[in-house]
Amino acid sequence: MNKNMKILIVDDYKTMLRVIGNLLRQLEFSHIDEALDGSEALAKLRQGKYDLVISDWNMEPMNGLDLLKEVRADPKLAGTPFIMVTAESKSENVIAAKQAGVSNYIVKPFNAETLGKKLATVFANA
Amino acid sequence: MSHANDTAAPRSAAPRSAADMQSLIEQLIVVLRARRREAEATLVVELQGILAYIQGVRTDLSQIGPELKTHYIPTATDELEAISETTAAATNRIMDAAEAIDAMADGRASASKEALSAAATQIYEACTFQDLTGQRVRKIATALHETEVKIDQLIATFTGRLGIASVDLAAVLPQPQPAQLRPGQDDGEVRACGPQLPGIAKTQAEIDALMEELG
Repeated sequence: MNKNMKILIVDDYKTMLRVIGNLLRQLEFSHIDEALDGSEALAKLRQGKYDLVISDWNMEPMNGLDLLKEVRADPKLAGTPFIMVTAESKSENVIAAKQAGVSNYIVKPFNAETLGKKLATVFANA
Repeated sequence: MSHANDTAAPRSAAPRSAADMQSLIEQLIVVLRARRREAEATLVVELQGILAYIQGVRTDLSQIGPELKTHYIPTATDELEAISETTAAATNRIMDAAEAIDAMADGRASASKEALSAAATQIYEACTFQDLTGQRVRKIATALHETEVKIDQLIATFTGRLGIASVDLAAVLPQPQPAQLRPGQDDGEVRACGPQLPGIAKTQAEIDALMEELG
């Protein structure tokens, strides 16, 4: 797995951006960018090249599921691996995310080991 | 024998409130009692039960003081906001300390570097509580607001302020509008509901199994 990949973290809680960012840095990823909701993330994704999106679901004005759908509908972004990191653990949420093309799904609270494993799985399948 | 005259009064009196409804039921009871039919005795008992119920609800609602809306609910909302702000501030201080520990690890020998780094990781992981707490608090605030709205609607209905033209349950009972749908309520779209309670929420292993099953 390329540790120089550019990762975009999307979450409306700044603490979570900080937590995920620090966990990624501990996993030796250093090119990390942040966005506070789906629309800000989408603007950043369209401006620059990102190798991975790690997004929360429950955000306003654009939530994580809508961001995922926008990413998959955009030919330039469609192939970007997308991991949902969310407190939404109902089956219908997981199914909706899967149908929208999510690469993997992490339920909060999570630990560094889970994050590392999911990253490895996503890039092994990429 | 026709009883058209017996029922004429209740039909022509279009109830406008719970008080009108009570009056209508009382008139109906008088009419049914006057007819002295055995089959209608049960109906009279049922109507008396409904009457008592309406009176009970009106009494209960009249006891809801204005301080509920002007003091208790706003205070509870402010308290919830304070919980969010306090936990966010505390979490940021904890994170500052964890990042300092993490930075100290860099200059250390392998064993202590690993130990310090592992400690920082555990603190980072534990800090995810703030996100979940914030989402739970937001759910409580939404529930509180909905309760306030429903109480307002009930009071309006049972004190006749809605100006209902006839006894139409669909009109008397407020119907949810799309904008009022609660998170997770079915309007054909999967919504974010926030964290589920421990024991109900799916584990990562269950999510993984579901993802696997979905292919």
